[in-house]
Amino acid sequence: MYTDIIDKPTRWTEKSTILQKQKVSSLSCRYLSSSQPRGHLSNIGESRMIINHLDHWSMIELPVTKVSSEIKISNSITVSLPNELNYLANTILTSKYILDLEDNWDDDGAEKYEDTTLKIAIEFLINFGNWINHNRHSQMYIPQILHSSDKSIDIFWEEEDFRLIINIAEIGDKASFYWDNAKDLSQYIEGNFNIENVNFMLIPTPQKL
Amino acid sequence: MPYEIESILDHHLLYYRIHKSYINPNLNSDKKIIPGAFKPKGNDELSTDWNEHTTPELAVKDPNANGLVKFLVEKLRVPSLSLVVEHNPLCELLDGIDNRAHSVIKGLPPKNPSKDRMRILLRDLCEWEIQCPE
Repeated sequence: MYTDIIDKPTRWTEKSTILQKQKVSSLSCRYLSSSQPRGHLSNIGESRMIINHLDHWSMIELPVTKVSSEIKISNSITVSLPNELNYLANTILTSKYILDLEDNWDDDGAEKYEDTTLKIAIEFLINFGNWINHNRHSQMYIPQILHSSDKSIDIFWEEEDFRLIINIAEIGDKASFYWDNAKDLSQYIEGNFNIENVNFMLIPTPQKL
Repeated sequence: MPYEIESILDHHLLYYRIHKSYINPNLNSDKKIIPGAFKPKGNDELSTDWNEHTTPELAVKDPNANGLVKFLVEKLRVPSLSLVVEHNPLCELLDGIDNRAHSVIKGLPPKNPSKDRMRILLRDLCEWEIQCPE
């Protein structure tokens, strides 16, 4: 189990009583607690750690980059974006406009958005991207994060050969999706799911081939 | 006096206002309308204006804030959509507003995910009559 992030070599040195460090080449690395099984090979982003079968655990630190970056959406929303999903950063940042919509933004009585709804939508997108990355070894097409009706949020993919809309409800963890083949609409699929325990295998994946 | 309810024919048009906040230039489609623009009033009705009793210039109301799209009624009445188009004129005395052209597209699914699908299909079926202001 990873227990902390060491952000300075000096802190690493302090911890070296429980871990023998063989090579330090970065300002940022993680260490392993004593509960980690020996011989375990772990990948975290681009950082890789190996525990050897020694009397004292040791760690080999290969070139490390930051595992993720923090994106500030508002004063109350900051999301963590893994490096491999950096291609989503722009669409996530662009979605901040939703929080700028004031009451009556449509001149027809529409209400201001809650921060929470946008946060849930963004975190869902990141989780979906992570799932595609790790299970399909692919990137997803880049969607737009859009305001919608009833203070819900649409995550919308519109490509030449498919369209997928995932609607995140304002309240609770309800969401729904609709996918079609964009051209003659001869194929479509739709469904509901709960964000908290979503099974991504049951949602059409907007992955690049 | 309330207006008489008339029959809307297949070749007629229905106008629907699109507020400029529903336009997103980053979208891939030519129309640039976001799916959320098509929101039913009440449970299952989309409020529109019939071209028999209005003009695009009147229907758009505020051209600085809105654009206007049109629907060919025949396309709305295809069986696969299960939609109903009805004239629903409003009069000042009963409704507080006078609009003889007012008509509704009924039968929109009230809940997701079918609501998601209908928003996309309505977006496909409409065409710009008056483009939204920048």
